Amino acid sequence: MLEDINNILNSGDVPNLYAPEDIDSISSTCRADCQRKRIPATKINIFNQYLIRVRSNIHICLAMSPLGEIFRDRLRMFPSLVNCCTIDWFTEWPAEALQGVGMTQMKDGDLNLGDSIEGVVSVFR
Amino acid sequence: MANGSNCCLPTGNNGEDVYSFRFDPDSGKWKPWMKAGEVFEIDSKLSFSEIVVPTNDSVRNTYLMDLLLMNKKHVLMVGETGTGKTVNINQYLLGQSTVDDRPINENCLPINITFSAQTSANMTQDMLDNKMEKRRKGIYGPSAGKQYIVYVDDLNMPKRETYGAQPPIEILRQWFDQAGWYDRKELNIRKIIDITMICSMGPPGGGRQEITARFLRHFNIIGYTELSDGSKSLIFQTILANFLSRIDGDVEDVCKPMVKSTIELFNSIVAELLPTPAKSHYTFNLRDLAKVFQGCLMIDPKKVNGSDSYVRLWVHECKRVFADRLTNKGDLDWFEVKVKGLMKDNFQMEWGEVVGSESERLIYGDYMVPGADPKYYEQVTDMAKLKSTIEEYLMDHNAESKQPMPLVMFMDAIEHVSKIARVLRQPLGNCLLLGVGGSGRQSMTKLANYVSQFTLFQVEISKGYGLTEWREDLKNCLLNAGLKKKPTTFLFSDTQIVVEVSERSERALRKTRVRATATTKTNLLNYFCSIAALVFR
Repeated sequence: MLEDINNILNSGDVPNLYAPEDIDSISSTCRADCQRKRIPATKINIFNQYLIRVRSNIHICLAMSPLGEIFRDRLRMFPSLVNCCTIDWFTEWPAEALQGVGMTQMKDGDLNLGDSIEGVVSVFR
Repeated sequence: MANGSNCCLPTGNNGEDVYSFRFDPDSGKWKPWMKAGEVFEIDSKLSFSEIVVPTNDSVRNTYLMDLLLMNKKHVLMVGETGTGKTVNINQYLLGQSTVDDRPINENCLPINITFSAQTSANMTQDMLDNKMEKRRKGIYGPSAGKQYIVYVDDLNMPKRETYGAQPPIEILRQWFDQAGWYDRKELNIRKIIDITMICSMGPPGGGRQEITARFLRHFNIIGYTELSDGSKSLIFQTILANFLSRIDGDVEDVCKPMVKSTIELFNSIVAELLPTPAKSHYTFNLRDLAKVFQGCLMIDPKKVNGSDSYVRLWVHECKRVFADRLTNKGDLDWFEVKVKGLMKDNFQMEWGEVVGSESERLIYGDYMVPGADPKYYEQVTDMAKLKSTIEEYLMDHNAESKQPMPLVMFMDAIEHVSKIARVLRQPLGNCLLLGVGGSGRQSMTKLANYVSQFTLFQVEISKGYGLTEWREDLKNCLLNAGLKKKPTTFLFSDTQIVVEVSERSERALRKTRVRATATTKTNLLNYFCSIAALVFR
């Protein structure tokens, strides 16, 4: 599966994915693109236009756990995961956040704690 | 070459060497690759990812590629990621770049293949066989008079099998040595004619294998050197200056220091933040450098006022591209010190004056006015308003969606949402979110996707979800994005990877399953016999 994702990241294409009828609808839609750009409407050019459209419209968001060897191997085997992506590292949530979540949960729980909610939440922190 | 004509070797003036010149047989003189004084014009309609600025290296390599391919010599391009191999080759094959003012011969048809660790010999063979026409009995190739140029990218990615060979490469080698391969159904040889190979690969290491000399010997090998700092600044200065000229007010002065600082920053990051087992994603390449400028070009020229604000944007983009992947405080601090130093040295600006105090968050986004068209990418200064806007988005999302997300918004989460939304608005923007389970990667993406008003696509893994279902899902998603031009966010988590190790064993499994399901007596008996034969062999 990552193989396919790697391919999409790289070129927008997954080899042998499309059935002949898909190719037909692709060429009927993307032939106009070729004509507009004054490129000869060959099979290959039409498909390239299609790939351009795919790549500009698809945005892949991968959520991965950075722990362990599996992740390392995946990055090594599929270099596009790093090369073609902007990476965002989720650090631990700050205390502010944990407290906030706790407060909301407790309030929703309707435990009749009154003012002591805050105390309870900070105990669990 | 010399035969009496007075063509001594060229002399380089500014550190140029013999590689900086070509010999022009018509005039009998040495000429530089690029015409002197020629300024490359950027078509303002192009999006950032489509801009390609020619440099000495790219012009030279395209020339060599053309010379070799047109004489049916196979070419192998070797160079680090981001040195422009793929772009150069693709441009050339699609007839977008010219050699001596003429594009590639129109009788040459390109076929693109990208190898990866999981590519198999059969896949390679099928990809090529699909494109071939029958020429005579047993002989296949492109239609008469044409020449296929087969471009294999990432040639050395395929995994080695038990005995150390790389099957996809071996099948290609079979073509070189034996002129063809076997039809796997009919079991007779298919000769393949009229194809020329061009391949590209990175140097071995990090998942890339060393390639057998028996294959290499068929190629003319061209090395891509790492882009020199000079080439890098030429490229980015051309792009940036072009953009800045559209801004009113004197911001043009920041062009040179900005390019210089970014390259310096990039170089020191590459040298000092090295990948280690715990930080295996610390691999930076030229694409990251380009992303900084891509970000700097996202702002609307009308929204820039003064060079201070533009430098602020630059700081923001550098942080997004480089600092967001850093995992610990030490590295982050190192990064900030570095940027501060660069601002002082190159821009003569103080961090505090331009960016603001340390604790303030620097956020840019295009989502502050819901439903606005066009959306302007601009700085978000009012944090309270930001929070309420995002919370509104969240409420709207929960009202519309079948899967509401009970999230509590706080500034860190909002920052992540804004980071993801930033990537989504970039053409070819993809992101990799790293964090332990439960850190909210998927919820943040869903929200960012809602903020950007894109279509969200996710696969649903259920029992029996296999490669067939996956491919079907993937196809629909791509067709949707490609045919209907719907901007789509494809959210995929590593927990959803159910088929990884060996696609072939999956396929084999499925075959057995199919056989077993058709439970006629004969079938069952056959199945039993085949297994028995395996066991008792």
